[in-house]
Amino acid sequence: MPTDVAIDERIKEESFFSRMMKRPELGAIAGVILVTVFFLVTADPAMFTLAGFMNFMSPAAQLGILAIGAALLMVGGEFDLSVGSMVAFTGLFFGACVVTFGLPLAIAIPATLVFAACVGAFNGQIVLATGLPSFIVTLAFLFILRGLSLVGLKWATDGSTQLRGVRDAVEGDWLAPIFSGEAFPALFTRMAEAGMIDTFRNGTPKVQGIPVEILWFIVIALLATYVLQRTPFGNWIFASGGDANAASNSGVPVRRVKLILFMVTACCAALVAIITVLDSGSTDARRGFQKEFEAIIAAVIGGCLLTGGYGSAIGAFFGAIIFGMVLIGLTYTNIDQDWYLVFLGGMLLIAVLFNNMIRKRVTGER
Amino acid sequence: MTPQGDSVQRPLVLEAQGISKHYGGIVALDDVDLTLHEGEVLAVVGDNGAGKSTLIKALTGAIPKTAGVVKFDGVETQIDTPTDAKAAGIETVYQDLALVNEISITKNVFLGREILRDDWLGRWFGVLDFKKMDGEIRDLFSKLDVRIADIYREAQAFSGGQRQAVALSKTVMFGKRVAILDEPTAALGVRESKMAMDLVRSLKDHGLSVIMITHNMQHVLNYCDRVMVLRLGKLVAVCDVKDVDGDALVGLITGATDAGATA
Ligand SMILES: Nc1ncnc2c1ncn2[C@@H]1O[C@H](COP(=O)(O)OP(=O)(O)O)[C@@H](O)[C@H]1O
Ligand SMILES: [Mg+2]
Repeated sequence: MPTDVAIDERIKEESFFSRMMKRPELGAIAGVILVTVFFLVTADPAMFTLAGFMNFMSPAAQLGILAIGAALLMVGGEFDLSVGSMVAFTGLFFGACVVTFGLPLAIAIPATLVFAACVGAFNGQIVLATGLPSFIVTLAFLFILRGLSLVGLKWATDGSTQLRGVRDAVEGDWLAPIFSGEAFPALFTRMAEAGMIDTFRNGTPKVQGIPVEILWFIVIALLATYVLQRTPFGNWIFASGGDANAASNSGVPVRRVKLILFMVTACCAALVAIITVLDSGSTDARRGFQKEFEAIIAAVIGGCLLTGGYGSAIGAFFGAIIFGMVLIGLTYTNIDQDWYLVFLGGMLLIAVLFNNMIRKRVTGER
Repeated sequence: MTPQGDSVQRPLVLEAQGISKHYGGIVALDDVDLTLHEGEVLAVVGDNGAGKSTLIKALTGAIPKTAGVVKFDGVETQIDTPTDAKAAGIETVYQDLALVNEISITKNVFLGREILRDDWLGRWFGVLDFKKMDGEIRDLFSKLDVRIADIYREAQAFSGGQRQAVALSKTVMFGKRVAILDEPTAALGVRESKMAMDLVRSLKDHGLSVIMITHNMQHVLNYCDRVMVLRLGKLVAVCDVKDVDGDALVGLITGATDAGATA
């Protein structure tokens, strides 16, 4: 029979250190450090110049925007395997808006986001209405949306799976610099003149600005973290993913929370679609191929549990950076590129094992 | 079968008529009436599967009822979701489903009723006021003598008794009129059960009317004013606790005694 004292002692206040040890993003931060050390040793030093940094942060950002959406949804207890196809599908919609219908970006971009939100809501509505696992429902949409992108593009272009001419169509549009190219070019030119950053022989800076996707990536990571950690809606996401029954008994509108998360995830995919379509000047039905898996892997490396109710946006942020570093970093080494896939699988496995260990700690070694 | 005693004189808080719940072909609850008076503790007893949990879920909107009406303060009230019930002043501790394991005690207690900061951050950006919520929980826990030091820790780190104490404290904090408790002492040890029942008593002291499902006849006799007995989804008896003893209740629950005998 435990005494009162024993019961109080059992759950005593945790130290700051042990609290930090349980943060979901810990594994991802450790991973970033590990990968950085690995490439510091093996890679050409050019990888860690400003230009090299932008080189790996750019793909990291494109994946990261998807991964943060995936992470929010996973914390909320659901999956979306259709985000990769969603990139192609919403890219097609956006391309058609701009090229085929000649709409200005101020209309095309909101229209694309609304369209994505509707597809996401449709996805979510099926999951919620049927009670089927989101894994299966969104797996169906992985194929449906990819197929529709192919068919739709052929229809729009009379047989091609690419729609070109985006660059001409958005020429001079005032919104274009926010969604494509590099931000702060004037600042980087100034810094080049001041000799603070590397320049080409003719005096133009090697890095002309910060690729906009990196800024979007950071803004979205901060926004998602603020929502998760500081707002009631964040609490509801954790609660809906942790125990939907208990949450709804406590008055949390679980269905609405999950539906919104499906819509947010789709909008993240649409944002990536808009950025990549503007950057490449074309929309391609094969774009975003397998990105759903990479996004989920980044979220898992970032500490998200597949069972929901646990995870973080900052974790997914670092998870995506690990991806970018490995993908681009290998080109700075003598290592065969195809190790990339092995590396990814290995990272995933280590991350899951690591998270599992941390999880046991959280639940009191039970 | 007319209930007698003090509680009858007090006004009715909650009145349910003809509550039924069918799960496909299964009749989980068949035409059950319930009355709850101001300031009383009403026990609901019955064997496993008798329909006790179904009754309170139907009452509080956690599941849609097949038939029946609910009156609150004499007025017919539409209670279709747990949120409707809360708005009416009814707090419920559902069996096994009261707390979310993955989130902290603070977040659990205020789940769905979070407090925002009282400044521009709260007003414009909906930022939570953790300091205030933590403070209110500490005050409440010390008032109720609930011994939980680390309210930042996830609910799953705590024992069954502590979790139940948190769930009951939540009803003390938010319950305005009625608290409904589904087996608050199930799976608790002796000491923990006593702690939980003391909390039930403090609910009554705080002016709430209580409906409590239990399998413990001693708790019925010691803590409750009236008791209703369900068997196979049907209401078989309602009586004042002072008119029955444990054996009579067990007889009613199992069907060994028929309802007329104790009336
Ligand atoms: N979701 C459900 N689907 C089908 N039958 C159910 C469901 N929930 C409860 N039942 C049935 O309803 C009856 C009453 O259950 P319940 O109210 O949980 O009993 P208890 O009195 O033990 O709380 C049982 O026969 C149970 O099997
Ligand atoms: Mg029950």
